[in-house]
This record gives sequence, C-alpha cells and structure tokens, in this order.
Amino acid sequence: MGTIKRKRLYYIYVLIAFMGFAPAAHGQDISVSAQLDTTEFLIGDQVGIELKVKQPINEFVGIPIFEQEINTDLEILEQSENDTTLLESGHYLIKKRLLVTVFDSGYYALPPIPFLYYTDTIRTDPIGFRVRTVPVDTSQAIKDIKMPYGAPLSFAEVFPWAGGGIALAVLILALAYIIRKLKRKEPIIKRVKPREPAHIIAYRDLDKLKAGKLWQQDKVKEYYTDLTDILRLYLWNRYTVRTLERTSEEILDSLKNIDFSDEEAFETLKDIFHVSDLVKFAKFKPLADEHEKCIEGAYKFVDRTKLIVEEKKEESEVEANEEKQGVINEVNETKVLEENSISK
Amino acid sequence: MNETVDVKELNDRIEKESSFVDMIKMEMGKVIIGQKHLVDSLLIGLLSDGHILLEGVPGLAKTLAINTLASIVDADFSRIQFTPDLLPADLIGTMIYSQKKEEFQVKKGPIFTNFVLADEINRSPAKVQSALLEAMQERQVTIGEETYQLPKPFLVMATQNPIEQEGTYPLPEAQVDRFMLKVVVDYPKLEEEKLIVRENIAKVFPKANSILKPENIINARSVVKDVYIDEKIERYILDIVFATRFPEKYNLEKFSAMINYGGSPRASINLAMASKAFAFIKRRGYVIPEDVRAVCHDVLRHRIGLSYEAEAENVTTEDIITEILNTIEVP
Repeated sequence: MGTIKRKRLYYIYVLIAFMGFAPAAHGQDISVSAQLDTTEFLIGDQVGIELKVKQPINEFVGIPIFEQEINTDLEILEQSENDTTLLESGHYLIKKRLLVTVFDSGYYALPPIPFLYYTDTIRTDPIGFRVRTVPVDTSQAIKDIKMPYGAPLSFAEVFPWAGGGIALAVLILALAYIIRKLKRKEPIIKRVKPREPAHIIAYRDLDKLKAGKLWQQDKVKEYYTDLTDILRLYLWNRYTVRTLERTSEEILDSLKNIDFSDEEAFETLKDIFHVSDLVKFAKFKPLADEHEKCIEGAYKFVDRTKLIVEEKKEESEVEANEEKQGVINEVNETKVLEENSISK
Repeated sequence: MNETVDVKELNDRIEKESSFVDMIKMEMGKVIIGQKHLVDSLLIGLLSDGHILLEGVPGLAKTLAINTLASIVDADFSRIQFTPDLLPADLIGTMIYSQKKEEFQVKKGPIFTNFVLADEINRSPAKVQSALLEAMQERQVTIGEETYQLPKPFLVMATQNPIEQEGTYPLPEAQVDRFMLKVVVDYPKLEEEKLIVRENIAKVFPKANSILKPENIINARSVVKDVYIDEKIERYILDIVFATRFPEKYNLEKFSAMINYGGSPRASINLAMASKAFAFIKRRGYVIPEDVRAVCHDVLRHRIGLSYEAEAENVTTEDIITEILNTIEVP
C-alpha cells in the first residue's frame, strides 16, 4: 500500500473516530448502534460487530440482512440470529452479531449501517479501525515459503472412489464368471439340490445293511453298531435331535421332550437300542430271528415316523384331479341332458 | 481284553453280589436325607478303592455321611481336623521313648483306620498334606525305620470349603490328582431339608445298622474289577480324556487356550474304574456309556488346569467337561 494512500486513510480514520462520539438517536425513542470488538487487529483476524436496536414495543425497525460482505473490504464470516430482550423501560433491545474479517492492512471504516423505520432510514455511526500486518523481523534471514499444509483425506472424499472401485471390481468378476460359465455351457445360477428326506437316507442305509449280511458273517457287533448309527442319523435328520453325542437313554429322553407321541414307534426304538447296547457293550449274542426283528423294527420305526409331505401333495393332486373329473362329469351330464331335451 | 469272559454269567453274579448296595443305600437313607450323589460317590470310592475330595459349605452332612458309612460297614473311622499347626506326626504317628522299657515305641496316628475324614485339608501346610496323600497312594506309612500297612479297606474323604480361601494351602495339582473323585456337595432340596429338620429335632436321631464287614467290601472290590468294559467304552473314555489334553483334535479349538493341562493317565484309569463301580452300583455286569457320563464330572473336574483366559471368560472345568461330553460321539 502506498504512503500517500495510507496517510489519506489515516485522516479519514481520525475524522470517523471523532464522529463516532456523536449520539446515535433517530426518530422517536429509537436508537441504533454498531460496535466493533476492537478497533485494531491483525490482518485476517476475525472480529465481532454488534448491532443494537432499542425500540418501543409497538414499533418496528427493520434490521439489515447482509449477504457475504458489508462492503468490498469487510467480509462476513458468520452472522447470528436476532436476539430480542424486553427491557424494564418497556422497550425491546434487539442484538445481532456479525463476525467479519479483512484481508488487507490499512485504515478502514465500518460504514453507517442502515435500519429501516417505515419510510425513514436510521443509520449507525461509522467506526474507524486499523488492520495491521504481521510484524516482520528483518534482522533474521529470509525464510523459504512454506508449502500449504495437506488436509487429511476424509471418508466422504474417499468413499465415492472406493465404492466405485469395488463396484467396478464386482462387475468385472461377475462378467468373468458369466463368460466362463457360458464358455463351459454351464448354467449361470446353479440350482441348490434339495436335501434328501431323512427317511430316504434311512431306507437306503437299512437296505445296504441288510444286503451286507453282517450278522450272517458273525459280525454281530458291527451289525448293531451300524443299525443304531442309521437310526441315530435318521433321528437327527428327522427331528434335529442331537443323537450322535448322546447315549440311548438320553436319546429316548430327548424324544420324550419333543412330545414324540407315537407310543408303539417309541417302544420299538427302545427295544432296538436295548438289544444293541447289550450287543455292543455286554457281548450279548441274540438269536438270528432277533437280528431280523431289530432291522424290521428299524424299518417300521422309519415308516411310522417319516415326514409325509409328499403323500399329502399326492393326496391334494388326487383331490384336484377328482374335482376336475367331477366338473367334467357334470359337463357331460349337462350335455346329455341338453341332447335329450333337443331330441325330445 | 478278556474275550472269553461270559458277560451273562458275570451279570448274574453281579446281580447277586451287588445286593448289599441297596441295603447300604437303605441304611444310609435312614440317616442322610437326600444327597444321593454324595452317597453314590462314597460307594464308588469304597468299591473302586479310590479316595474322595469333597467340596461343599459346612453343614451338608459330609462327616455324618462317612461316619454312617463306617458304621454300616462295621469299620473304624477317624476324623482329623486339619489346622495350620498340624504336624505329619499328628497324622501318621511317631516314635515315643518309653522310660519303663528304655526303648522307642511306635505310637500310630489316627490315619490307621478304615475311613478317614480329613476335614478342611487345605488348612494344613504342604508337608501334612503330603504325608496324607503319600499314605493314600502307597496304602502304607513309615514311622522310624518300620513300614506299616494301612488297614483294608482304606478310604480317605477329604473336605474343602469353597468359600473361605484366606489362610489356606491349596492342594498342588500333582496331589489333587490322587483323589479319584472330586465331589461337589450342594444344598439339599426344600422337601429334603424339611425332613432333615424334623429328624434333628426329634427325641431320637435315627441310627444306621451294621450290615457288612470290611471283608465284604474287599470281596466286592474284586467283583467290581470283573465288571466287563468293552473296547468301545475304553475308546470312549480315552477320547474324553484326550479331549481335555488336545481339545483342537476334537473340534473344541475354543478350549485350546483355556486349558493349561488336561487329565493324566490316572484320570483315564480312574474314569474306567469309577465307571465299573457305577455299573456295579446299578447292578450291571458291564459298563455302558451312561456310566462313564455319570462319573465323568467327578473324575475330571479336579484334573483339568484352567488358564487365565478361561478365568477371564468365566469358563469352569464343569463347562469344559459338559462341552466335551456333548461333542464326543457316543459309541
């Protein structure tokens, strides 16, 4: 800033400072004022301006609304809402705070701020203030310019890029998967094979055990071990009752706990477990017909306890067919009746 | 494995030989209300020649139970209250100089009896505990230069109070392993306690009759050893004990960091023996997995060393044993 300009501004500053002592009263019993927190501050410092209006309750004074700056020098950073206080004298005191800054050094004036009062305008007094630069120690060596500090990356900044990258990677992988499947002529979406029903597995295993003819080869212990294992697996698959880690007694207790209602099936299972425990742990050797009885008992148990979803489905299909057939029959009967009536 | 054993014949024999079990239980039931697990554990210890460590708060009929058992078997009983100033000589005996005979004479201690109740064993220092535990293991005591055999049957029932740990000498792991069973005695049920109160305020306190001789117990022990244990059950026992040592091999990786040490071979032996005794009590000539599971907690709970991780996670040996039993496949 040139010396002449600075000198001129100094005179303006002094003149405005003298003017600042004048009372700020306009109209009837209404006063407005503007006050700076300090009249001297460093370049870039943030300084508050407090605007005040004192007015009777039944009057209205329009407080100015600023956008980004008061004038080209004074930049507004923040402005508060109007704060209204009822005074004992029956007046309103309305306050508004502005946070301003100046980015050049020198002498400045806060211009008179206009307040609308009906068709009249009441202005505050101008206030002069000085903005100083940072003092430079010339006795020290000149230092290099510091580069601006890098702000840390925030999640909001990274997220769109990262999200986009992940989405792109997923897209590429999906395309690669589809191309590979198409090349191999495989279906793109594999259908999950439905789990085999518990009784089907049990029947298959029992058939296999029967065909193995273990007891005929004097492998009685193995025969009963396999038989109980098949039944345990069946119970696990059918009722989700933990059986492999439980003893025979505990398995039977578990069935009681799930309200197993088929008494006959329960007794059959109990008998099989009893004989099997004797064979497995007490060297008991049952007679040949006992072996057959046990495996037949196992078949019977599975028969009586298997899930009959398929049968129900078939039944419903049969019912539907029957209904369909019934409709056809009715139609036929109607046709015959109609034909008869025509012939008559 | 004795493949020639006739289990049917053995079953019949045990059915006959174990008839006294019901009588013992009946006589015990006259005096001890409830505490069936305690009575069963005493019988298991008695029949399998193992000692029992009891943990329970005072007043749960621990002393009364062993006293009653001693009177039923017509055996000697002594109770030793372990205190911080107890000396090994107070327990096993010492040499006393006889001025009349002008020689040292042996004064046998209270350990020379059939049933010993070592009350609050953790109140005495290690040297006294060692003296008792050595006698338990060797079934003999050396005083001066002479070694004396302890009477048969010899059953030690030691008690520990779980609520007062201050001023106690916890039993070292190596010594606690010598107890076949560690039984946790719990409070009686409400109905049971009503009967206990009624029994105790009556004019005459019921008394158990002597129905057995110590020799009968010795004979029964030999029959218990004959109880058939199948290879599958042996394998089951070993799986359980090995799971306490190498839990990760049994899909129990979560316990790897929680177990400092698992059951010793003595644990396997005792689990097999206790299972046999339990089968005998159930009047069966063969062991089934239920027998193993019934005694498993009592045999293993003091043989698993827990790490700080387990303590921090509030995991107890009970939890570990239960989880092992719920994981290992039953034969």
